[in-house]
Amino acid sequence: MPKLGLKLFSPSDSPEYRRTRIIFAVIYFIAVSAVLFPWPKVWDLYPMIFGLPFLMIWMVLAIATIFLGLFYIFRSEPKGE
Amino acid sequence: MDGWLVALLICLAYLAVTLVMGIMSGFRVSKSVIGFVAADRAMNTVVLYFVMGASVFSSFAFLGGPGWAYSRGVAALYILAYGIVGVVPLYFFGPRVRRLGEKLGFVTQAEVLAYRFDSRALSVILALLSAGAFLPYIVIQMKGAGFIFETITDGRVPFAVGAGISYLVVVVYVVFSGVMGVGWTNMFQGIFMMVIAWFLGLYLPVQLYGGVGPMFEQIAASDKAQMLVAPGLDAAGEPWTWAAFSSSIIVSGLGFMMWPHLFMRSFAAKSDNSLRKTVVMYPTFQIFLIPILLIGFSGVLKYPGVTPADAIVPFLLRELALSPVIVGLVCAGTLAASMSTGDAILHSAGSIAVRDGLVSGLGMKIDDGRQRFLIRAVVVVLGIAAFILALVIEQGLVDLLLMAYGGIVQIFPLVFAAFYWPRATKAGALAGLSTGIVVNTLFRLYPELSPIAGMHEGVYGLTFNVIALVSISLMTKPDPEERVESYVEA
Repeated sequence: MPKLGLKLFSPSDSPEYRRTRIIFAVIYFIAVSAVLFPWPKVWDLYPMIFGLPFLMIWMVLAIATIFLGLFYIFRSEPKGE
Repeated sequence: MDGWLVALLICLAYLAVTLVMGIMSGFRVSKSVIGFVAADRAMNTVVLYFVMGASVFSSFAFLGGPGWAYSRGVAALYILAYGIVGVVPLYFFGPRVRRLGEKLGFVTQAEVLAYRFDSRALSVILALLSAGAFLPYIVIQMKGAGFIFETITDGRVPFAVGAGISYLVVVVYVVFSGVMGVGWTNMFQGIFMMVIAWFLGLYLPVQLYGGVGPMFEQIAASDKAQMLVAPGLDAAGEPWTWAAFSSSIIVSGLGFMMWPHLFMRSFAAKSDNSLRKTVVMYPTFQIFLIPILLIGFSGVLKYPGVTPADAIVPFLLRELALSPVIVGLVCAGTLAASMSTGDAILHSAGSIAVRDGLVSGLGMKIDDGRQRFLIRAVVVVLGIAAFILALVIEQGLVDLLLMAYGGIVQIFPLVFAAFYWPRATKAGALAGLSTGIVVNTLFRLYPELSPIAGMHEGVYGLTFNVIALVSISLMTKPDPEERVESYVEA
């Protein structure tokens, strides 16, 4: 982001490395917005799953999404680090 | 033998095992400051995972979490949300911090920032901020330990004695073994409390309501149904606002890894990958908060009116006439939660006071052995100060933590700028941090000034912090390129 002067990547970072991080950023922001805002239907008691209100399941889904996202970028780390 | 005595003996046995384990682990590291503060930079993924997890899951989670679920319903879900939101930044800046530590000899958070911005003043401000935020955090842990002993023994072991004994054990193994004592005891404590949390979180709803689903169905059909309507209730029992819920997640999430005792674990990691793996695995620890909240919900209909709400766990244990062995194990698990955080904070506070306050801030020349001695002395003094405060402070556990987060989150813009914004300058960093702390304190003291009802004061502090950081940086001369590049390219 040269206009802002932010330096999020090093010139030596490969295009694939940059792409995985951008994809992760998108996944992360979706998961974060899922738990921050009052989306309709999801902050409800029903349907209950495994006895838990759906709003708790919603939170678990956000956690699972971030876990999978982290796993995805971890796999893309350069070998030999 | 009386039930309370059996439970008490189990807790004392737990304390003895922790003490031995904590002291023994001290033989695994060198006798240097690096060994005491950063475990010779050799902590593996497994130990690191439990250190991070157990440091976070404290009395706040084990007593405050159920307390919130019990008194404020689904508002307690914010605890589940902020941990997962907050751990992610560590994946990106953690390895950079570790490499810088290895290259330049850093072992504290303030050393990283003070070097980048070439400022002793920053070191002193961060040391003071850490001390201000650490005190309520340690007080929370001590209150938790005191609650447990007092409740399970029906007051035979007073609050002060319970908190005192538990923290005497903590101080002894932290003073003796440093971060390695914290690491190995946290591994033991982490496994122990996970087992206890799942057992109790599933057992109580089944025992009291016939299952987790029936428990929520019955709450939804009662006059307490409002507790299950997002985002839950506020402290007065009125509906909480989304502004308050979301801003609490933002402030706590961004502040999460800014806690010096968590940030400093980057220095202890053996490699970049062991640190990254720890972050990847961390969400599994977060899931264990679900049974913790179920414990709180299980008391809503069956035992209304328990005060303070943070005492709901020990209260349920006493009321349910469980086997004294189970009561003892659960109480030991709760003690583990309290002590596994308290030890990490005491250890970090000692390191910060000496390295950032005396060595970096005041420029004192202190040799390695003397630094270790002084860190140990601060651990003892801080332990005593927190103990006295625990006896006089009346505020709830979660409220105390939320208050502390408002200050700690003000470090986030500086860490981000140090690694990702080369144009940030010393003047900008000092202006941003000071403004953030002042504005946060102002809105904490005068909440009626808040234009949005319920908004966490940390958000205002953060906003003014970023404005000051950016504007003053752009108005001042850029910092030396070599120093800036060593961070941006770290």
